[in-house]
Amino acid sequence: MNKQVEELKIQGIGVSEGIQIGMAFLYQKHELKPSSREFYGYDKEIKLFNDATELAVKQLDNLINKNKGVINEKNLAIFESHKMMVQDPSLQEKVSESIKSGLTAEEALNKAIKEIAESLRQLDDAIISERANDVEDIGRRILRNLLGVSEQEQLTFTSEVILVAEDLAPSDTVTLPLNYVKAIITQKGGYTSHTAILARTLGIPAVVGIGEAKNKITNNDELIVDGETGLVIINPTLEEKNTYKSQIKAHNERSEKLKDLSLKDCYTKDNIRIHVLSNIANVSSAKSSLNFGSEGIGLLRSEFMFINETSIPDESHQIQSLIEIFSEYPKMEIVVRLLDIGGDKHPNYLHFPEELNPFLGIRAVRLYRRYPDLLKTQLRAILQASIGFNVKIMIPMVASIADIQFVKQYIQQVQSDLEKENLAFNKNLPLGIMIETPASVFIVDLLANHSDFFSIGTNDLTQYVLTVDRTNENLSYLFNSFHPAVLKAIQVTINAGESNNIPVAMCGALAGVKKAVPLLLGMGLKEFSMVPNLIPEIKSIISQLDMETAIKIKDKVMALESAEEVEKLLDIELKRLAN
Amino acid sequence: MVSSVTIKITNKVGLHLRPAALFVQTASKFSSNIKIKNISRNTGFRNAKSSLELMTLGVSYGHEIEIEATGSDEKEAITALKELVENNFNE
Repeated sequence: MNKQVEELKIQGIGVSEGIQIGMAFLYQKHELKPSSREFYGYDKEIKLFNDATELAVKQLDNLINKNKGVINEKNLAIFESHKMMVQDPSLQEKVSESIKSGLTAEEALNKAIKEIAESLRQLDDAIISERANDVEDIGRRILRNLLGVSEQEQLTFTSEVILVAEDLAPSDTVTLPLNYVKAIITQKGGYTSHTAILARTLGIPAVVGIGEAKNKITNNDELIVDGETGLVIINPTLEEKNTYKSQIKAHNERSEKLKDLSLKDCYTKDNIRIHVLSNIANVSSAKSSLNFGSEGIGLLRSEFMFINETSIPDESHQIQSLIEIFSEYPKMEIVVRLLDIGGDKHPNYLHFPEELNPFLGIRAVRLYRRYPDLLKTQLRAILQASIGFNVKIMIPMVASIADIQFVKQYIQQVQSDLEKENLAFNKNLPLGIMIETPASVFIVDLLANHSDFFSIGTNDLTQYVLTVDRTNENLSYLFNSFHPAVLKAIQVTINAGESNNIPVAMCGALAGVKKAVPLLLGMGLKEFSMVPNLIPEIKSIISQLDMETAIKIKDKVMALESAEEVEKLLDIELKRLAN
Repeated sequence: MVSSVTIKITNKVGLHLRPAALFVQTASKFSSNIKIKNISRNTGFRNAKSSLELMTLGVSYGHEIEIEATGSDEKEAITALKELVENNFNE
């Protein structure tokens, strides 16, 4: 008999469309603390420690064996190095000394790990400070064994689940078997959190920001997730399940139909050609995006080559990754955005100073001044990999002409270096910029003299224009790209592009929002770039609109006074289109 | 008796990851006490059989290191480690 279960509905923010029914899998990262307990004496404490490290070695061996051929060799090598650290004589010595002085095994371990990690971080060397994270990682592993806490086996679920987590960090996506994730629910986050972007890229439904209600979900609960409305149903009734099952069926049929349509070039009803491209964050999405009717890459997030690495990826490695992606898009436009890290994305091997306001800190183009070699290597890779491809380079977070000049100077230097080294490279790469800072909007006419194209990044533009940290879930109600101030910034940018005769694209999340389409068309936007699975819907909406209607809608919207009013009007217009 | 050698690191990544692991594995094969210091960073001597201590030396490309061994197989140890570094860790 099934135990008596009660249906429960939770409302979150729907950030990636689709409906799924499945079992909950709770993903937790434990923060471990040694409990205070009595000291058992040197011999007993040492034995506890030795047993825990022995177990850790076994666990790591298991991980390595289980993942041979499943994950790449680099990640396997990390586990090998962890094995070595676990058995390190210096760690054993430190722990033994502390135990001699009366600390418990757990306390001694924590002290040793902290000391070692700190001494590594003090070296202020990017690569070594990354190792400090590894030291802490093995410390957690041994501590888990000491406390008898079972490892939350991240890699074990092998049937399809609905992943329930507090939040997902970029690093989690390496260890999680994403092909078994049907949908994602998170406690924190908003439309632009990593989870949301990840889900849209994977094309799976996601509901974020459910808050404390997350505690009501337990492992293996049956869940319905509606990524459009943001509704999560725990232990649904049979009738409820049937209703949703038919909705899933209808949704799938519609997607199939749209897919056929999306493979054609996209025109408005009155025959204005609109280009719809995709935002790509890794090799696999580059491949799959063509099936959705992508006409090129409007934003290649080059971070993927850097974030999950253990050290700065070398030139040949970067060239290889780039060519792998480029070759999927022969002749098509490919916009490579230079590395945009900082803010909330830090690879471990770069030693970042503690910043009070990281989003206003060493980010994107500002990072290059701190790590010029990072920029140089990336430019060398792009220039060499792009031979024979229609590649453009884009600078993120530009706030002044000097930002462009800085990168231009490096491009020139790299070009002359490559020439000296007799290495072939693409000599004619257009250079454009992201428009995502308020400063860039105010001087957009000046910037036009120095750039070959603009691309509007609406997430950061919204964050900076509205002064709302987009990762702060307490403020997510204020984060709205339909705010009149953001819309004015977008309009100014598109107008400047037109009058200076340089193309303007949009690669921010707004470009993939259905109700925004008539507004953006009316503003004069001709190039949309979004996560691949949104392309069919957006192309379908574009093909149902003519410019006259779009401009009328835009005029109405631009006279409104709040984001809420704008959204309401656009919702109505979208519904009218559907009928 | 003490045997020692001073060598320059010429492999690209320095004494990190795989090279560091190889270095520790090689050192651990010998019964001698083996110590290493990074001359370029002006560090003290550390246990060459500990990957954790090795890391704190921050040995990168171009750095000069000194290896010192004491014990019954000190000469063999020094020769083996010297070879490993000079062959760029068989990269």
